[in-house]
Amino acid sequence: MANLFYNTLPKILADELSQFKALGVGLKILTSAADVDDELTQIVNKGTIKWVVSNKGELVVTSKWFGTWEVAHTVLVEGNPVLAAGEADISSISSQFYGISINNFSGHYRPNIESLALGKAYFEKLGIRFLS
Amino acid sequence: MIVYRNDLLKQEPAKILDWLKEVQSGSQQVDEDVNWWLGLAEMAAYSATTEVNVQDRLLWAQVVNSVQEYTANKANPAASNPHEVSAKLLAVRLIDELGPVVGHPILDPNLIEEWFFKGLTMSYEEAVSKAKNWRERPVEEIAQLRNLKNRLLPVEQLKEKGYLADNSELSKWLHIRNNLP
Repeated sequence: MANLFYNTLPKILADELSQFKALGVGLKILTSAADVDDELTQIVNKGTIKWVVSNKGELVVTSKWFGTWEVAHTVLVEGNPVLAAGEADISSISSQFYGISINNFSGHYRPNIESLALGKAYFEKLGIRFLS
Repeated sequence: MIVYRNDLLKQEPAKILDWLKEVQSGSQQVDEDVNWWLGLAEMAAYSATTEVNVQDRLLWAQVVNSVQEYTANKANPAASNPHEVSAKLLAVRLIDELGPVVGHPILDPNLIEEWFFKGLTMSYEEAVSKAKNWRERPVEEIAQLRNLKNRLLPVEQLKEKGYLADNSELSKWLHIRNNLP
């Protein structure tokens, strides 16, 4: 049974959610290979992404930065607990996705290093393998 | 003495900056988990955005910068530092909201330009050449090119908001951003 990680900064959640709603932050839920599409290409080619595996077992991603704002991991799951979280750099060209790097960095959820394997497995199920 | 984040964040930003100086000098023991540092930086960035008092906002932004510097010293130079692009984007936002101030540790747009050039790991010509066939490059080089793409973001934002003086060298770099992986 995988661990659940909880938001360690709950006092600022309401502000974070309203702030990023106002910015129009787009989230993408990746449940099957069909979701690995042009929209995902646009997200990953902007720069680093944030990802979580929600407590429902869904992989959710978004761009790490919108303008000058950094998106909090909590925004991806409305502050709910997660099975894994982190950041990744992926590049896409000609409908091919190249996983450059992935980590378990999240100041809000502070997931342990063991949870990273779960995140990698979710990306791999979609055909995105990390080079390192 | 071990300091825990929850206790630390009850302090005023000036006190946290003093504490960070002690950490950097080695006279304080701290939790070395990178997520602990990220949590501190994220909370400080939130305060830099939401505090009413302008001086406090700027001090919180300095906390974010200090955390970034501390972790950068420990990071692999070839790897992307998880804080630095976010710290510089926060500075761009504060410059835009409060106005640029030459010589100020946060509000001086020139510092972002200096940071970009200081962190370069390859020449412009190398970057252009490597970007052409990046898929055939070793993963370390692809990661360096992606790191460069991320580092161009604060510069791009600064330019978009009109705080970057005409600088052909920077414009050259910005032009290749979309060619980077």
